[in-house]
Amino acid sequence: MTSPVRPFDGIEEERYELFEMNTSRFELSRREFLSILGPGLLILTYGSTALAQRFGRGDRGDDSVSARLHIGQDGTITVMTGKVEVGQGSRAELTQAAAEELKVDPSHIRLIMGDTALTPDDGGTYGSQSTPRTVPAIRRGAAAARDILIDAASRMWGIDSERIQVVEGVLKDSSGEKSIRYAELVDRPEVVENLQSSVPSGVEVKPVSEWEVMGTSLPRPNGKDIVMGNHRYPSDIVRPNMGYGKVLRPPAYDTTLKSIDPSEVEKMEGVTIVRDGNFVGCVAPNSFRAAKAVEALAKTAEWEIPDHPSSKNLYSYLKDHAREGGGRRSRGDEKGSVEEGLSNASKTLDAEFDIAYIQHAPLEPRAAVAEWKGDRVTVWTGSQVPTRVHRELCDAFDLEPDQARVIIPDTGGGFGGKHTGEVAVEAARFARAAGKPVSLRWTRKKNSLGRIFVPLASSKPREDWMRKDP
Amino acid sequence: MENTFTIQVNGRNESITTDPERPLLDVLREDLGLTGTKFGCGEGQCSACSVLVDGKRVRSCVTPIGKLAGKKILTIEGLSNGDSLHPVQEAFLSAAAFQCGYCTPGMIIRTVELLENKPNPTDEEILNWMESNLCRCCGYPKILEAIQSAAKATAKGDSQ
Repeated sequence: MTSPVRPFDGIEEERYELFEMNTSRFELSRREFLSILGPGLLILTYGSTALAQRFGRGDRGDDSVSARLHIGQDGTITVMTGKVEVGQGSRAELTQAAAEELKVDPSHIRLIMGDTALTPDDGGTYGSQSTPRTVPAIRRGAAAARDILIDAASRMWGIDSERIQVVEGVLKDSSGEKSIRYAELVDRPEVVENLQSSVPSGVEVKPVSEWEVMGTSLPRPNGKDIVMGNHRYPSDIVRPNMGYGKVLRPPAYDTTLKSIDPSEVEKMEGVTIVRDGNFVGCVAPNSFRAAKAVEALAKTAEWEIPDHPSSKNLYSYLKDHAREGGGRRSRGDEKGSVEEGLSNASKTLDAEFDIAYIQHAPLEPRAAVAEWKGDRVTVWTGSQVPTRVHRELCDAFDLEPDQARVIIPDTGGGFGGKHTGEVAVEAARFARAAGKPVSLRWTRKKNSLGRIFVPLASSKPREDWMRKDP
Repeated sequence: MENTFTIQVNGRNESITTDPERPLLDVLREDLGLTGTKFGCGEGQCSACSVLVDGKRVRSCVTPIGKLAGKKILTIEGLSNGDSLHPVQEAFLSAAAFQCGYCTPGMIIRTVELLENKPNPTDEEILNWMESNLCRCCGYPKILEAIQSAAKATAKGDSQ
C-alpha cells in the first residue's frame, strides 16, 4: 500500500469558502470517541472550510468534517481540531471561538489539537490560515451544537426555542421557571433520540457586536504549565519502560552505507542495534548510552559518498543547473510584453540577489515517542501536519489508517520546518525493533541538516526604473 | 564505568548511579523525570537547559554529572511552592512572555539568578545578562517586560 506524499496545495484565498453553509450531524459517541472522551454527545459539522487546507484529498467518509465537538455527561465540553499549537497562539484563539458560540466561559472548554484518532483533518497548520479558516469552522460547529441543545430543550419543555436563552452553559426559559445544564440534557437518552429530526438547517453565529469572549485577550490556556515546566512537549513524553534512540547519520547527503561492523556494539549492555538498509541506529536505556553506541558504530561504517558541489560554489552551481520554467502558473491576467517594456525604458535597474539556504531552527528539535501495542502504533511528535505524519507511518509499516495514531502535544516551535514525518517513522522503527516504547530526539546538527530548508535562490531582476503604473 | 553520586535536586537528596560523563540534563530528564529543563542545542549555545548549581547558572547539556557530587541543583520544577508560583514565574505568566514556551524554563532560571545578583537591574543590565538565552519565536520585548515586572515584585517583597 503506497500513496505518494503529495506536495502542499498552494494557498489561494477562496473567500466564498469562509461563508459557505455547513450542515451538522450528531450522534451518541462512537466507540473510539467513547473510549477516550467518555459517554456523551458527539456533534459533527460538515462543510468545506476545513477541506480548504487539505492536501491529497481522499475519499474517506470523514473527510468533510469541519468541526467536531463532544459534550460529556460529566459536563466536559471537548472541542477537537486538527490544528496544532506551535507557539502562534491558536490554542487560546480556537478555545475562544468555541466558548463564544457555546456561551460558556473559556475555562470550560477542553481543546484537543492534532490527534488523528480524534480531530478532523484540517490539513495542516501553515500559511497563517487557522484564523481565517478554522475559527469560522469551530464557530459554526459550536453554534450548531448550541442550537441543537436549545432545540432539544424546547421540545422537552414544549415551548418555542425563541424563548430559550443560554447563560454560562445553562439553558433557561424566558419565564425563569425552567433551567437545565448542557450536561444534564445530554444525559437524557430520550432527548438525544429525538435530536435526529431536529438538526437546525441554518446556523447563525453570534454577530461581532455581541461578542463577549472573542476579541478579548485570553491568556494561553496552558500557560501556567509552561512557566512551571509541567507542560510536556513532544520531546518530554515519557512512556513506561521507554528506551532512547539515536540514529547513525551519514556524513553527507545521498550517501549509501557500504558496510558496518556491529560486533563491538553488540556487546554493549542494554543496546539494541536496528538496521534497515541505509537506516542504522541504536536503542539504549538512556540517550547518552545510545549516542555512545552510535559513535562506536560510526567508526566502523564505510560510506559511498557521491560528489557534491562545494558550499562555496552553490550559487554558480544553481545558475548553471537551473531549469527553464517553474514558478507560479500564469493567472491569465498579463498585459503587454516584458521585452518591449524594457527596451522602451528610459532607465533600467539591474540587481542580483543570492539567498542562502535558511534553516527554520525551532528551539525544540524534531522529536517523537513511539509505542506499539500489537500491530497498532501511537506516536507523539511535533508536526504541523499530523495527517501527513499519519500517512507516512501507514506507508512505512503497511498499516490501515486505524492502526496508527499521531498525537501532537503543543510543540516547541515549527516555523514551517516540521511538516514531514521522518522522526516519527524512525521512532516507530526503533520501538518495533526494541519491543518497547522509544523516544527519539534529533540532534541540533541533524535538525539543521534535515531535508527541509527555505531553498537556496538566486534572482536577477531587471526593472524599468522610471515606469509609472497606469 | 558507572559511579554513584549524591546530588541535591530541588531540596531533595538524590543518589545517582550512572556514567560520570553523562550530561546533567539527561540525568534530570531521563533518570529523575524532571522534563521541565529543555534540550535546545546540546552545545551550550541556547541556554534552554539552564539550571542553577549552588545558585549559579550552568548549561546542563554540557555539564557532566561526575562534576556535581554534593552540589545543590535548582530546576524550574523547584521554583514554585506547590501550586503557588515563584514571582518570576508569575511575571512571565502575567506578561504572556512566551509563544511556544520552550525557552521559558531557561529564561526564568536565568532571571532568578539575575535578580539574586542585581535586584534592581537596568534595562541594559537585563539585556546583557539575558544575552545567553535564545528565544526562536523572538518574544524578547515581552520577556524584557516580564523581567522588569519580576524585579519590581521581588524588590517590593524584600522591603516588606
